Amino acid sequence: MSTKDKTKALSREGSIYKLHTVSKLSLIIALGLVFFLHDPRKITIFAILILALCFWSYTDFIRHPLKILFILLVVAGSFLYDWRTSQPFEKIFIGGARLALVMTLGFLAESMFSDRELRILVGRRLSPLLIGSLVGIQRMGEINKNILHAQKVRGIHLCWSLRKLYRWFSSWGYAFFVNIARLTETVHYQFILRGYGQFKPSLLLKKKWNLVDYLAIIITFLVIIIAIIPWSRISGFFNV
Amino acid sequence: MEEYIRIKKIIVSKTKRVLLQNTFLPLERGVIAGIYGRTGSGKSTLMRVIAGVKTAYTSGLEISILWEPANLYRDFSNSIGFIEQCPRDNLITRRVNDELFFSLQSTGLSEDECSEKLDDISRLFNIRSLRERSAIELSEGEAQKIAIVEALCRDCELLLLDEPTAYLDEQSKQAFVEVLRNLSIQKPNCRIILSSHDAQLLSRVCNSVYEIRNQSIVKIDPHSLQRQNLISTFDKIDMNANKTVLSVRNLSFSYKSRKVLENINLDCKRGERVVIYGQNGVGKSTLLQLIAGLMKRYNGKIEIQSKDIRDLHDIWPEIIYLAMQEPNEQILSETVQEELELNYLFWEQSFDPSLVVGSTPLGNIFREWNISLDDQTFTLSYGQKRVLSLVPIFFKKPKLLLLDEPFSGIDYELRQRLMNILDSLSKEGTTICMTSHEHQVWQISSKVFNL
Repeated sequence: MSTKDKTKALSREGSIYKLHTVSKLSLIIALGLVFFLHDPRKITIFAILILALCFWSYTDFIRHPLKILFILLVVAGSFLYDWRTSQPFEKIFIGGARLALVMTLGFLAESMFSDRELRILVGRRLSPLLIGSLVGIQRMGEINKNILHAQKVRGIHLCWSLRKLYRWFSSWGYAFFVNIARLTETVHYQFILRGYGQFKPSLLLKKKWNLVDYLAIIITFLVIIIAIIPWSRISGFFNV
Repeated sequence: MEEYIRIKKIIVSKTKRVLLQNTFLPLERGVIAGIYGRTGSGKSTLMRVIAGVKTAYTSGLEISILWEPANLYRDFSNSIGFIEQCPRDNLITRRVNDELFFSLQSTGLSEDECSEKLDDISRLFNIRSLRERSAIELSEGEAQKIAIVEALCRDCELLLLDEPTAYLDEQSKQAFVEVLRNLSIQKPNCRIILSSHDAQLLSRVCNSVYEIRNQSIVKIDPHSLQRQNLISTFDKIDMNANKTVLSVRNLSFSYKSRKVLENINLDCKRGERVVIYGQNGVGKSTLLQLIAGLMKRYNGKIEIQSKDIRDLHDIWPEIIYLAMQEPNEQILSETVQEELELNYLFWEQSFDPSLVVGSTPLGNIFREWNISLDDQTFTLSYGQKRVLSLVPIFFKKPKLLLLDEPFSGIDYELRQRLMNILDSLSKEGTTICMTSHEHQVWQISSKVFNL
């Protein structure tokens, strides 16, 4: 194993991915409360927590600049927001921030749960579809890149002749959708052939609890307290 | 009790071509049965039918089969291990570790028990460093290794392997042969069916070999499958006097933080035939894609006819052609005719069907390997798709031809035909740069480049 691989493996050892399923689930559900929050100050705290979790997870997430930019914008926006005075764009801000954070939470959940966990959590009927589509979405980019490359090596380029433009789009569309259909079909069959449906959910609970799991549970409780208790009490407690 | 698979009829409904009819394949416990046959004869279709997987890509492939006894694949899914021909089609999760653990954990094993079961075979196939990687980052060869390890670790009663070694390097092929032999001894109840074009592999590991011939499955003597060497009329003459067509200087490339190529130097002369080889995942396909100008972020210099590839973007499709490793993604139209016409439209020429229906080299290949202009492209076999992805080279005659594993998934006779065409292209001055894991391809090249 190269030094880089070793470093990567070690980083993943301490990552959120290795948490107990129950801890992960409780964290995600607690942070999901962001959707019901109305106070921009609380939304800011949730945004910071979600961002911290994204970095803790050390998954593909933090290597995706657009996703990071997405959440940074929410954090920056909420800091710029004047908490003390009522602003005309308050509703828009809160609505937008909530949606953005829930979406980010979705990305985070997708990267922190293993396929096996998702399979159990989502249910027997839905999970092949969900995981199949996750695999499909992830490979869509790769398939698209390969098709564009295939067009390029064949000299099939985008140009202003209507006929050629049509053929460029139709050839891309046909290859793209056929490949996605092929992928979905094979993923679906492989799922079933490889014993999907015979997995016992109780196995998830057998996993060992680590120190970081307790930390995750503490964060969960803090998150729930922040979400439930009015801001005046929190600020009073900390003399803010 | 004798076990067998009886097949009443398998047809490709669009063309009404019968692949198999009134035939049967015996199943014997502890025996490795090999399936051999020409490209497009129906080997992969047969494997998918046995696995219980429908082969229909909704547009027109229909199979009618009579099982004895009738069974649904869902009922005995956990008893079947199936490796599809296209390596990436076998991967169903996002992380390699999840991929390896998926089936084992489904049977109720804990993570530690799975690791224990995987350890020995992982070491043999040298996949330990891959286990933390994302599945989509894998090369075709690496994906194939993961699929093999996953399937061989399971306690299957029926193991179906469709061209399992097509993309493997020599070391992994050896490991595969060793593991498969041990498996047939350790698990005497397991029936293994292996489909391959590799005559040497079949004669080495299979106890009985069957050939699909004239719509039937016929038993043949495994020892009759001798190593079939490609014959080339291409002379290994000294090319130094020729002009340099391709020059790669100090080329380095990384995928995010993973360094793949470092300080690569390569020169190819006019008319030269260069084979690039190396272990799975070493960066062979990446190198070809960089030479083809498909990826721009690299360090070093790539020059085609003394011009930097980055400055050739307007004219390079006229100079270079790349046949990618995965033919499925290189096919862009619904029918074979539309696929061929597509090239001509962008070259501002009109397509002449007599090129593929007459007695031209390409026409002969189309006729003998059952490819017709009306065929739906995605119902073709893997080998037929590969031929189709190579068709533009017949018309374009590029100065630099890049071929990524061009002979995988195609039979010996078709390989020889394609080799003859490559010979004539080389003689006309086309420089050919290809990747291959096969010794027989190395032997007929003018230069072998170890990556």
